[in-house]
Amino acid sequence: MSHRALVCSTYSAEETRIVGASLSPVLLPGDVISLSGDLGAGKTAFVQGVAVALGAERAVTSPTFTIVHEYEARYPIVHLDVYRLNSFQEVHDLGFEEYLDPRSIVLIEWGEAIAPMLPRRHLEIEMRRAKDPESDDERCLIFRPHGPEWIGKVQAMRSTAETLLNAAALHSDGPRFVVTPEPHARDHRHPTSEGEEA
Amino acid sequence: MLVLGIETSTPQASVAIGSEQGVVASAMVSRGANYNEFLLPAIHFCLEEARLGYRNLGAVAVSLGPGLFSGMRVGVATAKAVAQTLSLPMVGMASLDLVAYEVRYTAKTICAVLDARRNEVFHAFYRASPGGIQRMTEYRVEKPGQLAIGIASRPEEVLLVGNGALLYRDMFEELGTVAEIGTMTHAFPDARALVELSLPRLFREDFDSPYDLKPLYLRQSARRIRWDRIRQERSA
Repeated sequence: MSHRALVCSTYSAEETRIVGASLSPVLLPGDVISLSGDLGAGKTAFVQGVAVALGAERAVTSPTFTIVHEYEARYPIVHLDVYRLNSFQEVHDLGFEEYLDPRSIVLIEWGEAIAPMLPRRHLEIEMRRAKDPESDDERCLIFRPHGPEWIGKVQAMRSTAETLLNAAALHSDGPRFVVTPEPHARDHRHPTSEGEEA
Repeated sequence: MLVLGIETSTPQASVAIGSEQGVVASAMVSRGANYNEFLLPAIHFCLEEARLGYRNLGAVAVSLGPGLFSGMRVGVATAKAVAQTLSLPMVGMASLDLVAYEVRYTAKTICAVLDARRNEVFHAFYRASPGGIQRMTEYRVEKPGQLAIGIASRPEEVLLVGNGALLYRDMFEELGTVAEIGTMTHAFPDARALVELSLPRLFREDFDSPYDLKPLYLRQSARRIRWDRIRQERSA
C-alpha cells in the first residue's frame, strides 16, 4: 500500500505553530504523533502550536535533553524525545509503555526511530528545511497518516490551517498544500511483534 | 520489630506499618493522587495515627514490582531514602509474590497476573507451601493470550488472581472449569501482605543492600536504534 502523504510548506516558525494549532481540534486522548526532523526543523514549534491550542499554560520547550515533558491541558500532553537514546531497552526503561496512556496525547520527537514500539495507528510528521539556502525559514512538513482515522484528521487539519494562515495574512504565493502518493516511502510495517497493539 | 512497607507498583498504592504481632496502621489509594504526592503524607499519617515516630521503625520493606515504572521508581527511591537516613535494614519483595501470598489457602495452583499495559501482563505461578507460597516459574511479561495457552496446557486447576486476571477474564474464562478468577479484593499487591511476608526474611537477617535494590524491569530488548541508518535515509 502506498501512503498518501500531505505536504505542507511553512515560511516561519509562527506558521509552523499555526499548522500545529490546526491539528489540535481533531486530537483525542490516546492519539500518538511522531515528529522527525533535524535540529531547528520546527518540531518544538509544532508541538507549541498543538499545546497552546489545547490550553497548555506552561511554555513548551524542547525535551531533547530532558527526554520527557508533561503538560496539563484539555487532555494531558506528553512530549517525548528519543534522540538521545541508543537502544530500545532505554526506551522501555523510560517507562515508555506507560506514557502511551489512552488518556493522554503523546508527541514523540524522532518516534520513527522506534517505529516497532509505536502503536500501529499514529501520525508521522517529517519536517525538512527547504533545499533553497536563500529561504532559511522555509520548512516542508510531510504528514503521513498511519490508520484510517488519521487520513480524516489530516484533511480536517488542512482546511483549518488554510483558513488560519489566510486569516493571519502570512505569506500567500504558491501552493501551500500538496497531496502526494509516496510509493517509495519508507516501509513502516512492523518488522517484529514488539510493541504491537492487539 | 516494626516494619514500614511500601507498595506502589500498581495503580493501587499502599503503605503499612506492622510487626510480628500484626499491622498497626495502613493507608491505601487507588486513584487521584500521584504516588509522590501520596507516599510521604501516607507514611506520616500511619505513624501519627499509631502514635509512632520514624525512630520506632526497625526495617523497611519495599515492593520491587514487576509493575508500573512511575510508581516503582517513587516507591523504591522513597524506601531507600527512609532506610538510609535512619540506618535501617531493607528487604525488597516482588509484587506478584504479594498477590499470590494473599490467596495461599487454596489447593489449586496460583497464577498471579498483573496488568502490564499495552495488552501485556506480568505473571508467575505458585503453589501453597507450609506457612506460605512457593514460586514455580520466573517472573514473565506476556500477552494474555499466550498466558491463557500456558494455563490450558497445565493438567491441574489454576486460580488466577490480580488485576490482569480481571482485565482479561474473558480470555481466561474460555478455559472453562480449569481456571478460576480471583475477586477484586485480591486484585492488587498490598503493603500489609508486604509487611507480613518481609518479617521472616528480616528475622533471618536476609537483608538487601540499598545499593543493589532496583525495580524488576521485565521488558527486554536487545535492539539498537539505528541512528546511522536514519541519518543516511534522511540525507538521501
